[in-house]
Amino acid sequence: MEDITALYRDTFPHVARVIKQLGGDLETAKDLFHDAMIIYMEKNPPEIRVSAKAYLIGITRILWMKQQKLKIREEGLSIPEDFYASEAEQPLLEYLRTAGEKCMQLLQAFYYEQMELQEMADTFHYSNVRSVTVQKHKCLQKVRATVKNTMLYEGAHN
Amino acid sequence: MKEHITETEAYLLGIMPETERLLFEAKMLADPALQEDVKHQRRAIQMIRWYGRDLQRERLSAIYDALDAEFHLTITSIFK
Repeated sequence: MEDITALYRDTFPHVARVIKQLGGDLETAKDLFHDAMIIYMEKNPPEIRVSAKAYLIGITRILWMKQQKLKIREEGLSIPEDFYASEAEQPLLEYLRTAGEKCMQLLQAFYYEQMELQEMADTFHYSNVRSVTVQKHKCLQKVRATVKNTMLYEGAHN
Repeated sequence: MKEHITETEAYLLGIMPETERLLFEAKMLADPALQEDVKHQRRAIQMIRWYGRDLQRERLSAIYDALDAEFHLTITSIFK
């Protein structure tokens, strides 16, 4: 996380000036910059052809234009299509966040952070890789069942 | 049902060998219940990813809050 902190400290003032010039406030600059950092962290470094700073400024600008519904001219930079959960997805996401927090934390470590099983066992205090694997499996089953029930419910109300 | 989770996972993560994948897709065509399971699992993984991003946002906010006074002064002066 030290690298990320250093990158944050170094880059955010530049991003803030850009967003300010475009007419945005501090909260907006922060939100968009955080999303850009997330997109950056999700990428493999070799996929990025410019400096981290230039990349982050470019992505923040694109996110701003997207938010303002402006036409995007920048080429060579793109944001993942499914980056934001749509309004329609929010209730289920919120439900999983509150009702299934423990499972969601474990599952995101594997599916999002792509943590190794051993590291997961250490982080979540499981005695070994096998028990963390079993728990991950149970959690995925649980989340899948929740998704299924929600979709049945949505289906019944549409 | 239980073994489907592992199989479906390999399918969704794109790590299933070609022949197995074709077989799995054929099985899905013949089995609407399996098709539903795959659909639900795909959405579950999507939810997990969005959740992961939200956790990152929280971490980044914490980084911002913990940065030094000089940094915060710079930022405040930009938005004055």
